[in-house]
Amino acid sequence: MAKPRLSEELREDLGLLLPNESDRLLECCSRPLRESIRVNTLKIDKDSLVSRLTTRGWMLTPVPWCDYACWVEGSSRDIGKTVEHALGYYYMQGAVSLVPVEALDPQPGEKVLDICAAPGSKTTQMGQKVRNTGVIVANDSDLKRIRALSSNTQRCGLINCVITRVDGRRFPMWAGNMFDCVLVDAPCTATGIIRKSWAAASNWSRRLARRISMLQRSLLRAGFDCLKPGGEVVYATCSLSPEENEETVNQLLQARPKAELLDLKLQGIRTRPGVTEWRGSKFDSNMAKTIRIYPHDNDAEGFFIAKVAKAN
Amino acid sequence: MDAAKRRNLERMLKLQYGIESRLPSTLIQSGEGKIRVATPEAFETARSLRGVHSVGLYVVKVVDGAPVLSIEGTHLFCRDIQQNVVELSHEQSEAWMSASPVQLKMHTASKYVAARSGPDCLGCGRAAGSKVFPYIPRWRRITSQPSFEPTAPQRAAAGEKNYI
Repeated sequence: MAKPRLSEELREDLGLLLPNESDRLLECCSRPLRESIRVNTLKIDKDSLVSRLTTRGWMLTPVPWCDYACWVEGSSRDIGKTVEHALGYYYMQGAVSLVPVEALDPQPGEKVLDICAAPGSKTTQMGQKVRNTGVIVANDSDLKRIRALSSNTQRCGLINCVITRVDGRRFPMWAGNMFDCVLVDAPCTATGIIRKSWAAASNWSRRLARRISMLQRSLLRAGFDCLKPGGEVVYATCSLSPEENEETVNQLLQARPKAELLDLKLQGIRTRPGVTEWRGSKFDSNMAKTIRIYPHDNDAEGFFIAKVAKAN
Repeated sequence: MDAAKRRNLERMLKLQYGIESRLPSTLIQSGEGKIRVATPEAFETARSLRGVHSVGLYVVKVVDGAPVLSIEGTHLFCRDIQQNVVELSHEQSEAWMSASPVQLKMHTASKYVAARSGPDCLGCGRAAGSKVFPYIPRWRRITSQPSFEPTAPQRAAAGEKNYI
């Protein structure tokens, strides 16, 4: 595949983030993303699904960091056009995008908020983690995306889901201190998934990252304010730029004295600590507890994940 | 949903599909005659939120006095459905999920039937003689594909050009 165009500013930032490695990252991003599926354990067990898909010609190999997900290869048929998919037995989801929910680890019976939920990959993943108990409030502000969210929660069989359509930044006005855990999977410049669309890489600018980080900061603050004391919020983006990640989390730590960064313990996936300094700005010393997942480290997508607790 | 409506729905489900099991505790009547199932916590939480779009899972719709189960509705009651149910082969289930009418070997007396294919519960369809027209929402339909990749001799036999 020909090497696609990358904005100069992004090339410069990647060089700063990954000295001597940015070429490896770009080489990895020039290859197509491996397909992966998440087994919907609310409807079928993993072994039964693997056996059904294997007999139809697909090869499934386990994703090391998620015991209910598989890489898929070996057939020219579209894995999204099967009876099993239509029945909601599995969900096509990027392997690394499974990690934020694993990091949040919601428990059965808990009250969970997904503040930027559409199209519902992580909402439905949380639904199976809590085994369809308690409540998951899945919010998004865009009607078109709400329709996709609604279809996916229906297909996956979630009975504990409330879908709302409001600006997530306003949520604390009526749902302050309400939730045990909150996922803020914020809109971002998507530089971690340029393997899906290179438009993100060619149009990227620091100005764009700064502008979107204003929204991310407000959403993270809103998500934090919706937590009960003792609750936990996971902030995740599929962007690699510190403006959208560490800077956003740092701003929360400054604005909310009760916010405490937590360690993230994940197995089977290669991660790196968040940066503690970026272009002359120093961040909270605990920022190394956040994690960065680079595409070339796992031959998958790139993500940033931080877990913050609200002190009692 | 109040107790009288719940009893009526239970009666209709028993009459149409032979379902004897009790309905889940929280049922919500939404637009277009649709009935949704939710956890009690989800229902209570929704009352305190703004901009609520939907709560729980759509399981059944009452059409002309008859209950028509959604795919998830048949999944919920899968083993309890005793009558007006058709068993489909895998090939028929692929046609069903692409919303193509399915030809049965015998006539069905009921206007609505549920469909199963092995362990899979496929929702309901409208029966007309020996044909059933499945109710599959547009967003959920699959485009038909062969069950298996054709082998090289099969493709050659099918007259595919330039195939070695």
